[in-house]
Amino acid sequence: MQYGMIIDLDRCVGCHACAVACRAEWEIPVQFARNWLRRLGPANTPHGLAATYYPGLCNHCDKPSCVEACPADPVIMTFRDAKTGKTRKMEVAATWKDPFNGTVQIDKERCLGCGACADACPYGARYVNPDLADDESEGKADKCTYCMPRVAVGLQPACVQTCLAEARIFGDLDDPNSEVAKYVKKGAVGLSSKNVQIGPNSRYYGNKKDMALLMTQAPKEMPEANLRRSMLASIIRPMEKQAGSLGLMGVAGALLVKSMQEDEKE
Amino acid sequence: MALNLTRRNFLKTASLAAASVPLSKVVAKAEPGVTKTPLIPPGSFKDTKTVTGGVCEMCFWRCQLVGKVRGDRLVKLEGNPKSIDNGVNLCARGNSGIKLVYDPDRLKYPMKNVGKRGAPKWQKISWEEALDTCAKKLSATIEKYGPKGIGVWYHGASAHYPTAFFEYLGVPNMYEPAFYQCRGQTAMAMMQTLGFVPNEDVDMPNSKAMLLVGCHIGENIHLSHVKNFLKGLENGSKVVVVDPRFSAAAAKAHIWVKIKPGTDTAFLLGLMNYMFVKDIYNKEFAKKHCLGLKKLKNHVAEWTVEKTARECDIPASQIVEVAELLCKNAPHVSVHPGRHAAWYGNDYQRVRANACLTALLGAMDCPGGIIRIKRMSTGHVHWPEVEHEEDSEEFALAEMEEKYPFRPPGTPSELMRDTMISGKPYPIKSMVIWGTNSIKTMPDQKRTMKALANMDFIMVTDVTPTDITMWADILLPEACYLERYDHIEKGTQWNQADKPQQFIAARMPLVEPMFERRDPVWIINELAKRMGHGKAIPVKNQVEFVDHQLAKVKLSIAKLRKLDGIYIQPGESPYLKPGEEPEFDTDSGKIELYSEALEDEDFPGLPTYVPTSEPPAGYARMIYGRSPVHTFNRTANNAWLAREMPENPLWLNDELAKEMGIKDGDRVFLENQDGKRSASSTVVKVTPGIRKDCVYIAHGYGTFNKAMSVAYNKGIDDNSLNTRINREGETGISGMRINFVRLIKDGKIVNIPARD
Amino acid sequence: MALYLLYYPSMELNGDSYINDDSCEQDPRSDLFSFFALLMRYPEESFFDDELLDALKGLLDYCELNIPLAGLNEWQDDRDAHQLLKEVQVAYTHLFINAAPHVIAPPYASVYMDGDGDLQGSTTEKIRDFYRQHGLDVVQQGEPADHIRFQLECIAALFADDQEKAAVTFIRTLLYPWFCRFYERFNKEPRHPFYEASLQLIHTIVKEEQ
Repeated sequence: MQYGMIIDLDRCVGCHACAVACRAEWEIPVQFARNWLRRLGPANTPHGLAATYYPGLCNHCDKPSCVEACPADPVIMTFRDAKTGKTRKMEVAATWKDPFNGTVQIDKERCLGCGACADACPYGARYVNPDLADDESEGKADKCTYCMPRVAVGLQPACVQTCLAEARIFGDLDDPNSEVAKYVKKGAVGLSSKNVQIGPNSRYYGNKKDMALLMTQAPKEMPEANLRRSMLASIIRPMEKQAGSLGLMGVAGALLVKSMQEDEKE
Repeated sequence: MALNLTRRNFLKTASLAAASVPLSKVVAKAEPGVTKTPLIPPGSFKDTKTVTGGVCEMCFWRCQLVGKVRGDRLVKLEGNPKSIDNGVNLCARGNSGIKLVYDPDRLKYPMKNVGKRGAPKWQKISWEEALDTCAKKLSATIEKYGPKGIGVWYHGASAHYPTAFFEYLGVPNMYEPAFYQCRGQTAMAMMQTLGFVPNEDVDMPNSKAMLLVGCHIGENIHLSHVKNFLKGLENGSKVVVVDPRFSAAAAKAHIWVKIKPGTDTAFLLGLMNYMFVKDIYNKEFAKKHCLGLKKLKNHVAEWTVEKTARECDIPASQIVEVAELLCKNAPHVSVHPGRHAAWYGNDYQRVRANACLTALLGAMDCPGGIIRIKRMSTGHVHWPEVEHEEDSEEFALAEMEEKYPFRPPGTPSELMRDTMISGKPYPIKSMVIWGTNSIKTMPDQKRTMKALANMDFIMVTDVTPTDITMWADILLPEACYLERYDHIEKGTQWNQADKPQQFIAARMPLVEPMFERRDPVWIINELAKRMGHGKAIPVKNQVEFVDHQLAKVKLSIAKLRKLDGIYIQPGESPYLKPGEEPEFDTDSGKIELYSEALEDEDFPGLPTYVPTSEPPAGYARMIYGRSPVHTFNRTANNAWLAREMPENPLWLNDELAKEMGIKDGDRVFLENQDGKRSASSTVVKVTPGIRKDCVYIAHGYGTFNKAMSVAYNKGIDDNSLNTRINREGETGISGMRINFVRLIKDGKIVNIPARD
Repeated sequence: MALYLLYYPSMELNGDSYINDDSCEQDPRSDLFSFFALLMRYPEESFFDDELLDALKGLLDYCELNIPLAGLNEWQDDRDAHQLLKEVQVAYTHLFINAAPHVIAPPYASVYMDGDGDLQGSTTEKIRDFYRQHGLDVVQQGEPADHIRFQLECIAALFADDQEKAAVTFIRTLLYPWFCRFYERFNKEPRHPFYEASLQLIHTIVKEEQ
């Protein structure tokens, strides 16, 4: 099973209801967002003058770069298939791709708030909320969850429910009879490009000129994994617990810090 | 240092504090300590109860809502699943209503201005004092000048009961922006021609073609109306959009007529002429039901395809294409009546032309056409009829001045403003302003301020501290739409082709009002008592106000509550049955293509094109429209909506921008033909999707006062640049797209080059 | 700085007082916080008088907050009682209730702690839960439970009830974090000497209790 979202641009009128409903549902502070609506055009495309919209959200990718970037200590988690009751154990850091439903989720308790996952996402779908920092973290990462808690009790994702144009369709891409699978057959595509091919499962469908305009929003490059940042996080945190002060880390640590500061200056 | 304090000092004050200690002792629960904030919000469906009966008023379409309430807190709004209108859907504004409830800036208590009008110093006062003052001042005005000494500016559902009271008092001066700055002509010209007002009852889902003149569906969001439009597209309807700008509707259209601003009437006349010349109009319908067919044919004869193309600056082939498309698909064509019509001051004629075109196509009372939807009707709450010393109708300003014979209900805003300033034909000395921000609504802001300065007394009721509240002598805080009972929404299923059903939904509160906010029925009743009209009060409270109206259809608030807020019954199809003939409630009983009544008042009896003025060299016309996340300026303070579209970008033609050295994203101010500069700036949006003779911004943004500039008040206030107005003779409504602007970038004026 | 107040145990208690006889033993901080709660109420003729101003000045003096004290004296000098009251009412309204287009410093915790700055946020719930867990609850309808005067009253009640630890916990974790931000915002605007003095005093004391 792979959950996916289809956005039909023939229907979307860019009313922003999806962005607000998500924010309302999950009480997202106004300076952050789990999803967004960008207004595109009017602009000339190879197929004519077009104006459309980019309702964006996490793509719950097939090969999520965010999952790889997480430096939190891995633990063994047991996953359960909601349909069959089957379970499976996996070693995961603080973020993972669910082996049964294909969604990408975050464990807020173990999240270090280092931001490496947010940096690693070519779509900018994640953010870190520093207000949730505690003794063990600098904040907490957050993003669209495909409303799994709502789906678990038989509700539609909040954005799907509110859409007055019925332009958002949610379901199991692996089920050939689902609406979402039919859209994929019709040609719905994710925002991939030559250098960004991580298998987005939020896909878009529309006429030629609208799709041409939309695809200008596809990220051109994968972000440079900010390895220093995630490495620093994975070193400093445990050491801080023991040492209580940066100064005790020694020369190596100081050098790492210095080079990270240089990175940030660039 | 010896302490001069004694415990005695504390005792007195502490005992006073104690006397009103708002905390009481209760049985302690569980373990003491501070509860930890959950890292993951639970979602609106967890630990909440669903409260039904909400009717939205973020705009005036009135979708039906439910609220998710956790404890005393409203956490989310959703469409009422029982609704056959919006269903579970809600637009961005509907979803954002919660921010209004808990906005810390919202008015909380009655206040009195102890500073200056326009630069207030507010002092919190009791309701007692506030109402006593209002009653005293209003009574004094009536005593000295008669009820005509009072003027009322109002808007929205909360103003219905108040306006009924002031009408009962005999006040003749009542104005609402919905008519005089917006859709007055759409109603009146349709009425004059067809004998009925379609409003937006146009059957788009079942049309084969649609004609939208200016109508930017998608940037204006009336929820089920958008559903109608999209359904029509889905069903294969061919859409024609006539707009100087590539609007949200144009983006989905099959044909975009990139028309020169101000020439739409000529375009409509040109279409009609082509239909006459080629003999492709709906002859059977026209002959049977229209008066003045021959007159119209002769009248539009000058509007050949060539002449129309020249005037409208569009290809001649488009006129042919559109006319042929509409006629081929007649009568199943949606000629959209429009809504906001106050464009150039020549707009009554445009709506007349629109109605005539619809008639030539026979596009009414059938699938796809304009339709007369059958809704339920409810009762009215009346104050008693009384004899006044002065007959209020005699003092209706427009009557006295013998102006604007085809005006919508109420008093033209311009006339009232003139009278407030001049005192002629009689003084207006006290103002009651209810739920409308006149500073952002009426063009020529300076004049509005001048008029207000002349008043003995100004009473304002509102929900948020908008610009107009700065002119209140007494400012009253109202309960918002989620906190009161008032409006009764009556409608049908959103697609007329579906099984006919009718519904009634009466607005009920989803939460209790906080602080000392009160509902309008209570406020007016208290005022009425103090003004000596206690015995005349028709309903005791807001529940009674609604129950009284529902009684006509044997419903009540209590009954509706049991029905999850919405009553549904079988309805009636709006389409004519085979053999059934349509009726037109005009003087002649027919559709009046030619109107004798208009000619009698020295207006053209046939729809006539009146050109509007051209921009002076260096300027372009400023045209405005709606933002999908805002409702005029009402929602400006809403954090969620402001975040979605924080400012109103200025649309500038890309070729022009290149010539001017302006880049996409540049920040600019605007200056108009009278030298008036915008107080704040906006970003430029460089695009091929707009003509070179105009620039576009969404209405409702911008600060009026530089000193008030705060985080969310970004963008440009288009109304501040509406210094030039053009009152239409038929209705008294001012056109507002007749102001021209040039850019100011980095302090330097940037002229807009003349087009070749 | 520990706070000491001198008592005159032989003095008669005000007959109307709800404070009972052995309240001389009561933690003086209880009355202090009750007093602060009073300062943060909308000023009414019934309690806003010379005695209140004297008490305030006394405390300012004790804490060596000379500048606001001087400001307060200067302001009081020129005006009669009626003028003083009206001025503080206008000032209170402007600072804490309504101003166009935004109220200056709404005195509610949720505005500063809950992301979007709204009333009735999750912090409001948290604070109300704390009241309830300690045997108190807000009875006044219409005001959010996290209005500063309720919080100050709560602290006063806890001190009176000998629950020092709970009071200090409340100050440290629920009051101080938002009060700082509130005070900062308040300080950005031109402010009336009475509230300048009141808030600086409250800030000084609350900071000490950290």
